[in-house]
Amino acid sequence: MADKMKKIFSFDYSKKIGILVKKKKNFLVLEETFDLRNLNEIEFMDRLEKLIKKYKSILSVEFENFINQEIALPPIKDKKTKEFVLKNKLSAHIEKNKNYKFIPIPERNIENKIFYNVYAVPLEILFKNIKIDIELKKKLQKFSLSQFSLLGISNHLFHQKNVFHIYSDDKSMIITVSQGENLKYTRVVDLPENLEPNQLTNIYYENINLTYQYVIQNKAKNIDLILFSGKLSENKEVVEMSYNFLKKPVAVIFKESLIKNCDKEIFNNFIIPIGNIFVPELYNLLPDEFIENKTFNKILVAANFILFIGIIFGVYYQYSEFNNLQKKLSILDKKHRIIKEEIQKFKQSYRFKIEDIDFYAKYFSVVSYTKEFSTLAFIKEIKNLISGTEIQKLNIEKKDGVVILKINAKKQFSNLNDFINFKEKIKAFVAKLSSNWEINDRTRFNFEKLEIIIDLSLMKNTGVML
Amino acid sequence: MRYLLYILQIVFLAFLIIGFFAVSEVNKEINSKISKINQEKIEFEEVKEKLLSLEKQVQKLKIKPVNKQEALNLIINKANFFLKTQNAKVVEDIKDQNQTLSITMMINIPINSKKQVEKLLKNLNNSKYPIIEIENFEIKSGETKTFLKIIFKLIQIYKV
Repeated sequence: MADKMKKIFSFDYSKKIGILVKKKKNFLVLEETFDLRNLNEIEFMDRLEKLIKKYKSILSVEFENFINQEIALPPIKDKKTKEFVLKNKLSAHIEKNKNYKFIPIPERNIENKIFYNVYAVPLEILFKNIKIDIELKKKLQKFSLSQFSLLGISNHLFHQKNVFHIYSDDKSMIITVSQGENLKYTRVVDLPENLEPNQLTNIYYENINLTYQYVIQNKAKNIDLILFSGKLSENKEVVEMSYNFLKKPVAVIFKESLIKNCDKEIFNNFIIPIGNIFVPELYNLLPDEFIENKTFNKILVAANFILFIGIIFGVYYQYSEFNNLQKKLSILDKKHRIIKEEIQKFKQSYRFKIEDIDFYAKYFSVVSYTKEFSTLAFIKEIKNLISGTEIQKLNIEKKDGVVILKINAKKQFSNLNDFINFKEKIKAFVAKLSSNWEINDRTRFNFEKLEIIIDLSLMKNTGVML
Repeated sequence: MRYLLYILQIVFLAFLIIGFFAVSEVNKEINSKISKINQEKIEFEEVKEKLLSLEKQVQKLKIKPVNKQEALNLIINKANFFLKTQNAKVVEDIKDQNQTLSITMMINIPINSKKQVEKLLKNLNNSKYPIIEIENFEIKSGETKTFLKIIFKLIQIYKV
């Protein structure tokens, strides 16, 4: 497919000959030639349509009756506007009902005006003269004239030189005068049939000479070189005469500079289809909408390509994600199995049955309750306070998580010093207890009798219940 | 033909997108399962740890589960002991609640020495089978003697 895309099919519709080439950077490689002259009309159309369908294709026809005028325009950027203005300016020359393709070639600038050498080619030559299916016409890469094909070769080989290019085959002789992409003049001379070689040479020379004189007087002052192609390149007499009388360098085309894998005879016969490939885009006679349509298609193809890449990435991503999932699933499965096995193993190795565990759990909860909530511990907590006193009443009561401690005790002192010390001791102790307990302190200090009567009530809500 | 291909591609892409969401959903699900299983593993380790420490403690204390009859015997024996040695009285009859037998008793005796009190308290505190929970503890000095009053509960868990 990709290989096919690089191949170009170029066809001279008027002469029914064409070539299939591979396009390299600077030259062509001939793949196949097509000579459809011997086919009948139906066979010819059939064959041609198949070829156009299959390859990127370029078509050219021989056509003379285009309009060539010099027109001065102010600078106009917009293509459509320019076309409209051109159409108006050329209205005296063109037919109103016909569509034209305009080829404006800027020649020179004078006082803010651009002088164009304008060619107006009626589009009916594409729509009427060419009989192939309209869809295939839309598929064409290029459509041009035989004259433009010669310009393509001159431009490709000699760039900015003024080239006087003379081509001939059995039926006609075409002369183009061009500099780069600028076609300055062109004419087609039909050759009468059944002429003696001598007469033919005269006709050739006569036309060359006349055209040359006209061109240097009216179209191009300076000709750099005279180029012969097609059948004429074999005609030494005409080449020599031209050199002697016109006094300009003459040249024939070195075929290797255009196309490889092509012998001399074929090369001379297929100059027009070869030249078609070098025709500048400016001379592409396809209507704008055909070209735009192609651009749109290209964008569509590009978008499609991106979509395709996206899909490939998507599929790849999905695939790798799916693999990931599978891996994760197997990890999950493994973990599940391991933990199950571990539990099973532990179950088997553990001494106690579930009822035993239940029993022990209850047992230890009661034990821890009694430990945490131990009467002995409460007594220890207040031991420092009551030691050395005369206890009248000590009560510890536990109910519903609430502990109430009541202390009534008495102490008699023999000196004030001890009395005060003990008083301070009690106060410090009560202060310390107050962080854990709610305290009701009614302790009395009798200085006269040096007697302390401890009357404390402590309460704590532990929240712990059996 | 070409447009059909485009449409097919778009449909395919749509499927891919749906697939993408489906996969990410399943992925989420699996991730949550994995984290759940990890959590379960941690919980299992914790339970295992607790059960092992329970085993150790049981070994240390040398206790074993008793049935209801045995529990009743244990409680009655202990109660008898207090009735005989400490002149105790039953305050509340035997209760059977939540796999637990309990009986509430009271001791009310004159205190001869501090040691006597300490010994009794230790005795009550150290009892494992049944466990003894002191509900009320009171020391009160009368005119001639100081009295000790303790209300306590004998508690024995049994296995069903």
